[in-house]
Amino acid sequence: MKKPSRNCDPVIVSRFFDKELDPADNASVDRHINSCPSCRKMFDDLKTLSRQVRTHITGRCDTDHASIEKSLLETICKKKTPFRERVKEAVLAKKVWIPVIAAASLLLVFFTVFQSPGVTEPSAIIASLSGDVSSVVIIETPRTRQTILWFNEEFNPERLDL
Amino acid sequence: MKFGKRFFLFFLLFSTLGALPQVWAGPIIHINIKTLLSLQDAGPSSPQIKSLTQEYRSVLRYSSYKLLSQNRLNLKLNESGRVSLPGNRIMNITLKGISGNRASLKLEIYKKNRKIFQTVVQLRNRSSITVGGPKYRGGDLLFNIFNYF
Amino acid sequence: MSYKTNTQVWDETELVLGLKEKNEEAYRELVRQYQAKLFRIAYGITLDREESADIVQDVLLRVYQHIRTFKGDSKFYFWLRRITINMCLNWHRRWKRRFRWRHQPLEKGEGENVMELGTESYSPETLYREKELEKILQEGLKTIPEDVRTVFILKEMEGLSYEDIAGILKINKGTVSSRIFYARQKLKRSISSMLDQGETE
Repeated sequence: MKKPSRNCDPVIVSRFFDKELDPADNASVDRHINSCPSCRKMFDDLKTLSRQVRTHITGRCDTDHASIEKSLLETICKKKTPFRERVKEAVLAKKVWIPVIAAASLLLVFFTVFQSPGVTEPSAIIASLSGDVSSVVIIETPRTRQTILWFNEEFNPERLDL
Repeated sequence: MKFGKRFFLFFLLFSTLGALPQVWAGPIIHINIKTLLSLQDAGPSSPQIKSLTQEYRSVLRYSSYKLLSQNRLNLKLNESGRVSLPGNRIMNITLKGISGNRASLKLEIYKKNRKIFQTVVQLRNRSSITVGGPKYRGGDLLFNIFNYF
Repeated sequence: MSYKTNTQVWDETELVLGLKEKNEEAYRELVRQYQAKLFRIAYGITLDREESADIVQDVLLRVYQHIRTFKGDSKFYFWLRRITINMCLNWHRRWKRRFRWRHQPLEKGEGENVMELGTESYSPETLYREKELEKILQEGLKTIPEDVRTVFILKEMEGLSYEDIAGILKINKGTVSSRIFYARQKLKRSISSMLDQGETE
């Protein structure tokens, strides 16, 4: 039985596939692969895997780039418009402000004076939080609006202060 | 007349204090802390927390929730209570105040005597907040803090 | 200074100059030229289409706002790519992703290639195998730790050398080599049955 050589090492084959061996090693592995069926298979498998991964990722990236482009350009336009102009646009655009404010006020009065059944506010309002945590997520359950405060306990030298 | 004036002032003071026992005694809040272990494996959830489990299922993807322990605290204004939690952790809860239908609570979580997390929340009367999720025995811990006053 | 119309081809230098002058057409060209490429990198690292779209938007906006910080000491696309990678690997995003993965269903199979009727590729067996492979690859990629996957994606999708990858991620070349090897072994184990059936081009 042929003694497996250093060239049968999958790590070496992987580096050979990536063209990361020095010229002498490269030539030696190349010769070996052409004469060793198992290494040839390893190499072919890497080739197949590489193609599959590229196809898979590219296929998954088939998204609506046109809408991303449109949204980006709109954002840029907003950033280019001076703030005063933007405020003016917002004011002029809202021709129904008075009725909307009136309706909102009525609703506010209604809900404070006549407390409607059902949950209208979250169970907890987070006033502040801090800690040696890397991130915090705040969630609310849809039905009873119960607040869930989730933190990642991993120690992080940069304290999180909000 | 001097005596009369003093008597009147003392009378006013004590009657005011007597009329507002809450001010003298301070508000008291009752807190129930449930420590849960949420797991990804299959297995039944603790039946005592069925309604909580149903709520969590709408936003979290654990397959089971186990009730590990339950603690009760009765706190007055600016009073703190301490609860032992799994994994060398401690939770400290302080009542900072009550305003309308919300209680202001400071929650501090310590691990091996080091404070790792602190939050001040305004918790609605008869409702709860859930704080999570330190890792523990293959799952994540959830601390459900319910209050009423 | 004359401005290019969208029928003309922008080279990198012109593009950068146009961006520095806040030329809208230059920005359109930036988005057109690089959006898809950056999206592929972001998706390879995050495996999340929605987040990849967010990241690409953030990157391109940031480029628009901070183009003056580009000194021209490397290729413009390399700069964009580095910003994208850094944004993908940003701590807060990574943690939120991990949280989402645990509590939301995996992405469904939208965007899978649709086989044409009447071709050899349409056989139910082929369709099934293709779908299974997609699923296995996606699951397999998710099991690879993100820092390992980043190296692997930069190799497979961008064809970068170990040295370039090491430079971008500030790790050793040896680490690059071992991570790529690890990712390949992990994926190979996941799809070994499919490979053994001899799927070829």
